[in-house]
Amino acid sequence: MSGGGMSAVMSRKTLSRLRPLGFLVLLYALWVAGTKGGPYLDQVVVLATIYVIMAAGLNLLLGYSGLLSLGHQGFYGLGAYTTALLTVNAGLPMPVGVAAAIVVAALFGWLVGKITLRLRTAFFVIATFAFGQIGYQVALNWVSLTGGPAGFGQIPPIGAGSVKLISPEEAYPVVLVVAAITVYVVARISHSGLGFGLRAMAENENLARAVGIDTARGANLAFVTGAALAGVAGSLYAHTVGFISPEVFGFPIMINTLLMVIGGGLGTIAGPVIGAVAFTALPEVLRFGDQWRLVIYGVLLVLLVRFLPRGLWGSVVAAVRERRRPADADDEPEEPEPAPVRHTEEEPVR
Amino acid sequence: MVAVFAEFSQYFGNGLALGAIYALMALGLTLIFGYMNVVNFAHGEFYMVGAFFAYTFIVLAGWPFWLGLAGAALGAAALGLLADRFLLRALRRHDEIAMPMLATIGLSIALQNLATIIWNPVPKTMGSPASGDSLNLGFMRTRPQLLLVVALAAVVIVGAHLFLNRTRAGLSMRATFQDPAAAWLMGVNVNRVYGMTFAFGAALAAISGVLIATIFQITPAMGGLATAKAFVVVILGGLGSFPGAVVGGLLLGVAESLAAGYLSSGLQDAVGLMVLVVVLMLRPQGLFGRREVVAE
Repeated sequence: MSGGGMSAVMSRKTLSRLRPLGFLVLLYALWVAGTKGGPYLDQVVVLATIYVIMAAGLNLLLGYSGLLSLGHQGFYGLGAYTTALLTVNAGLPMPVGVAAAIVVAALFGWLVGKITLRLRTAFFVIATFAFGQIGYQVALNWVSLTGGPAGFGQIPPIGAGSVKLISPEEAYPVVLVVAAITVYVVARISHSGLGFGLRAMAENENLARAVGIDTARGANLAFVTGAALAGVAGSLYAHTVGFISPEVFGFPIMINTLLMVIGGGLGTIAGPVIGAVAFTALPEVLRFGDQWRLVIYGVLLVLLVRFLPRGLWGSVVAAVRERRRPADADDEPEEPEPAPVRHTEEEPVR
Repeated sequence: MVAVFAEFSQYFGNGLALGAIYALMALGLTLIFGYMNVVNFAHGEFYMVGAFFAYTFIVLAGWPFWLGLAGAALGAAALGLLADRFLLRALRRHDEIAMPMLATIGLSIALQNLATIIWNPVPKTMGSPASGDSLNLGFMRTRPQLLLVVALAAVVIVGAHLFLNRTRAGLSMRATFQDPAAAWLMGVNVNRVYGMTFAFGAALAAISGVLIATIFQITPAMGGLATAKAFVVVILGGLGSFPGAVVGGLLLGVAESLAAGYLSSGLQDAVGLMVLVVVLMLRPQGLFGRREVVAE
């Protein structure tokens, strides 16, 4: 932090003053869109905000520790089915179902993390991918428990006792508050010892260990937290839509989340939030394309990777930093660098 | 006793044909994933495209089977060449797996939905050039369609092996992936080798797609599950291992067929995933892989 030029100090101060303001504006815009936008827009915004929770969890893992999990949607599905089974079959109140969903997702996160976090690079990617797919197969084939491909309906709305928030505009404030808390918690974690330890691990795991960072514990914590947040997102989805099918374990949910995190800005706080809103809205905007909709979506994804690899917000952050650098070369970056995702040829870790 | 054996040999025969197809597909992926380090989520789409090219050439245009097969392989190779040139080449310098992988996911979404528009989502049947009554091989009975699949896959696998080990192109391919810089200094056009490898992998996937079209129905969505299975086989056999892909493919095909036959048909697609998890836990380098940068 030493040696900051005058202009850099100024711009950093203005930036840090503007940040909470920007956060409040975004929160207000979402609240207006989610409660006063009419039934169709409300529904889209509810989904986008659920994805904010999901993306924040994945960002904690991928954005900071650089570990690319392709089975994250499995915890979303687990959360959805756990709360659905408990509230419908056992008749428990909705908050109990959500709490149980968090616990179950975190427990499975711990278990899956125990197995997969021994692996690195592409092997970790494929192992987590396999776990997500196993979840899908179980939901599809364990018909007596999950209802199989026909799905699982009659899930009660958000509420407790006599309070029932049925329509999206009624339920939305609850979802928004949960999402805001989630983003705040992830922001705090990313600036804590754990967050810096994860970044160090992404940069150079051997070195991080050599200076005494317990990278295994850090990775496990990030994995479990990410899983728990996916469980929250999944359970809120179940209670706002009222019906789930094995598709909550589906790979498209994983792809959407990944797109939001990377397309928004890996390893930044605002990036995944912006990504979640933008990439939930995109398929709706592309409706004009009719049957070409998903073709365009795929092509846009390719173009994004090709020309904007830092993502929407990540590119802004990088541009601001780039502009500041010549005046003050040793200035510490305001937003931490996104973690490089591991490459197979990196030095082996034993 | 005879009935029990007849049932087993039927499942085993089905599994062998399915396994030969998996082996071929995994061979393509093990080149792309193991050599180029691209986690290729569009691999199943090349398999799907191969099946639909063959369907178009053979059923709609009335070409002979062999010509349709060659056309499908060349068409997919051309697509692979384009994908490498305009998508992956620029991403190679990033030295990471996430971005190229995301690009192939985009490609897979675009290709699958493009195929749905072109050929519509209704399942199609192509049929096999070898049809007729089941044959008695002495020790077991099997259908000629399955025999054709196994025989064709065997020919292509041997051909691929000869190409990689006995031709100059194959040599420059292996040299490039051992040490790109050294290969470049020796005058190898590294970018061309990357393109060729991706195209070759795509062509192998396409041929396996044509083979599956001779025994099953095809749909534009068939690629997703195929990609997952190709990954299972590549990891099971060992990343980048040629014999691993072949043996792993056959093992997976037989295991799936037996599990579906004796346990439950719903289990068929889960078997490979469970095998994958066990392999990653106990022997992450796979059956034939070398122990390298797999685990901590």
